[in-house]
Amino acid sequence: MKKIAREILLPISSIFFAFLVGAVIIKASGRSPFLAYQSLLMGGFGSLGNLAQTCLFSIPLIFTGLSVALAYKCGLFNIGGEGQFLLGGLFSMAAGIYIHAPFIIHFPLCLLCGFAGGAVAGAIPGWLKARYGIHEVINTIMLNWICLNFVAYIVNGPMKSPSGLGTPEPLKTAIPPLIIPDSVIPGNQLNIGFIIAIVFVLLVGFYLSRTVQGYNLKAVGLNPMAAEYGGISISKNIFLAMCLAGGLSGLGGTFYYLGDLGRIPSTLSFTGYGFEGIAVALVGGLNPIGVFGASLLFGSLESGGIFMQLNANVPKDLVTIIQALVIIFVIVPGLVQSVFNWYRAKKEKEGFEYS
Amino acid sequence: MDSSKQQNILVELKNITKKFGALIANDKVNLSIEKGEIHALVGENGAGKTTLMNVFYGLYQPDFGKIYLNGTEIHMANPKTAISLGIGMVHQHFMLIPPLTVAENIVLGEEPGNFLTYNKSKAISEVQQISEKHGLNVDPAALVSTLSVGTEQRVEILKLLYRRASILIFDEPTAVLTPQETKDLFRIFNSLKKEGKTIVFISHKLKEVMEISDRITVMRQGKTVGVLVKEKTSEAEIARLMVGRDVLFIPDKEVFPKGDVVLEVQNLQAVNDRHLPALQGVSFTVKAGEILGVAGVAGNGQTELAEVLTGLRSVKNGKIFLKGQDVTQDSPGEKIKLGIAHILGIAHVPEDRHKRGLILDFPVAYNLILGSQNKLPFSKNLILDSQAIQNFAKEKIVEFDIRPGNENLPARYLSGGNQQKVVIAREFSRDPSFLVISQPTRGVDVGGIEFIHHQILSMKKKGKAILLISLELDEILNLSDRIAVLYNGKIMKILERAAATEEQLGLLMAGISEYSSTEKS
Repeated sequence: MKKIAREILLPISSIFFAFLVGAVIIKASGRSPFLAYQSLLMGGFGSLGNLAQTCLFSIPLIFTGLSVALAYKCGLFNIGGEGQFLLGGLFSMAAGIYIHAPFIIHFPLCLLCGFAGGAVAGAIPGWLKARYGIHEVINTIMLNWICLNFVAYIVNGPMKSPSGLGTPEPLKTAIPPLIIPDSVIPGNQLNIGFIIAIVFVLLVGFYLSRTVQGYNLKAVGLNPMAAEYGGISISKNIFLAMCLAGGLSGLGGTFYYLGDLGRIPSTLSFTGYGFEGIAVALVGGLNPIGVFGASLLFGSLESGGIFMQLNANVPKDLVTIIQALVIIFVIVPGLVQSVFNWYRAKKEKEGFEYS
Repeated sequence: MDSSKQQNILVELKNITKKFGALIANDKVNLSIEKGEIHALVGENGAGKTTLMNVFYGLYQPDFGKIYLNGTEIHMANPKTAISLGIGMVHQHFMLIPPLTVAENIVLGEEPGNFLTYNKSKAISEVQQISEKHGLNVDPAALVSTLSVGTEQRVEILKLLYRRASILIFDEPTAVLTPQETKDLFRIFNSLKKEGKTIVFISHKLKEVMEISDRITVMRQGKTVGVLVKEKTSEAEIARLMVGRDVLFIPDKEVFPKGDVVLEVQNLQAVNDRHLPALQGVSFTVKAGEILGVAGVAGNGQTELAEVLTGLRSVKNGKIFLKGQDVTQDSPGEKIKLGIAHILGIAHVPEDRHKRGLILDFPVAYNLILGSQNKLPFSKNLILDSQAIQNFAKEKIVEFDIRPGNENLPARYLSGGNQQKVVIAREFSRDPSFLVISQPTRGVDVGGIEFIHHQILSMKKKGKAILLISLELDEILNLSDRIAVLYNGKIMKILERAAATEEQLGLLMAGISEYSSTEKS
């Protein structure tokens, strides 16, 4: 119980410190931090419509965050989220455009293809690591660029739509349906991806904590030599972890391109969701529930940022600054923790000397 | 206190307190060392001996407490300060550069010569001079990579002497030595003492402490519990102070009728991680209800032998038979079948529990099922059964007296002895027919050693065949029925326990076999 409290307290106070420093920056630029934060909060959670927008922004982050967290449990640093995201998007888009089937078959098939696309992009560095011991950080970074250029070529070549904006739009049966009808919250775009993302949060959590496979995967991540001694194959688990991590990022791309954008644009670049997934995973303490919370936070900053820019005249770039500050406060080893420790040590020291 | 004695005190550590998080490694520890004495610092593992010396050497800053040298308070900022004050330390793991010569290693950082040039002949002659003066008998021109462990240690000592150290600290120096090498080391200790040097000797081997030291400071759980004069104390008294109760030294040995051959190994060959031959034709058998001890100095093939027998390393040549069945893992290049030991019913207590035996960040309960996680009752249809895992852990915690008795605590937070108990509990609960037990009591406190030895003997009573690999000769002598001496990847000789003497084993461990030729075999 105490442990859980501490695990929650630390990120919350890190976020608090990040906003505190952010306030100083806003003040220094001659604007009102109160107005800025008020509009940020309003923009993120102020109305049902804004809340729906926050949830929508968080979908890809949940998937890429889970991707990074899962790989990390197997001792792997998956920087390849961007590439996996793109390849997953491409595979699902192709399935969405070229396959004709009723929704009940077509939509799940698109998800499967998206997962497979990401998994392929994860499998390559996974195999290179498992078979030849080549470090996954190098491979995933390089593969990001390969994926970007490959997808850009396909989108501007074989899959180019006559209109020239990128790929054609997917068939209606491939588009993730809205959760809440437009008539209830006008203009909302929150699709079923959010519910599927929550399901995956629970699935990944269950997989890691309750299955033999999860046990094996974590064992390899924590101590490969001991895992081997326990009859667990290091290479198999590394490969598997990278496939699964890639697949999760691929699903992020699936919902982003099929749902949010409705096509893959011809002017393709990294979306940033893959890299933000690293931040989300770290802020979320590398556990699935934490990833969910961190994704909502980052999603709300995204949707609230636009609002803040309009209302408080604070540039949206400040959101990026706050995101960066949150990350710094969470991951710089114990920046906040050291404040706690220093305080406790000071108290103890006093107690010791007087005793 | 009379003033003459006061003057004789060279070093005084007062009220040293050092905490690591919640752990108090040193709790107001006092230590005073007289000039020119050999002072032993004894205690169980985790008693705080090494921490205390690291504080003295400037590697750690104490939270409280003061250090006095010749009566003046000093601030030991870092090891550089310590070295400049004439304090030197020989660590458990030697800090030498193998491709360089002895002389180069010794003068490193203080090379003779001017700014740009290095005066090689001067370095050699200076080192030669010091070596002769103290009877260290080291060739300054030899490459360190060609030296034996005992000689490497002497190079470390030379390094300190070259830097004009007058207080020499040794952290468990005999752990890696044969009995003969230990004798040599003690001869060197005595000659250094005659030169007026002061020696601090960290150890938990009481026999050696009684042999060499003048005074003994005993530590227990981070506190000083006694300062003894060698002439006025006994091994039993030191042990009592170390553990806090009376200790039974030798477990009761009963003779059992031996059963059938359980394990047979024929001409076993294997390579080490650097692809160099590590086992060069090893053959032996182990019978049911028998403990075959494998003695030897570290690095003579013990690690590889245990790994080959448990399927963690492939066999290059030779055969392994378990109950008559060929279980040799000899597919070179191919991945060996992992977990074969667990499938065959071989239990393996690995030599290094942190490296292989435990996943430190897993809770105790998870560590207790490592290797059985995919079997009933711990999992069904690939889903873990938390209840069964917890129940099993609770049962083993009671049975093996694992403390603290919290199955959800990560293994990292257990003491060395309790971590080892987790490994032993897991392996002994597999109901194996054959056990490979490596270094079962390395870094385990005296109380824990006693417990683990009894567990091993009780497995023997149950008719298990046991291969006991240990660097502690006393352990081998106390537990084994027969003793095989491993040297350079070969078995020098297999002796009946009753016929083995420490002297003879020591020679065999050093690769000298003429002793055996003089007796009938």
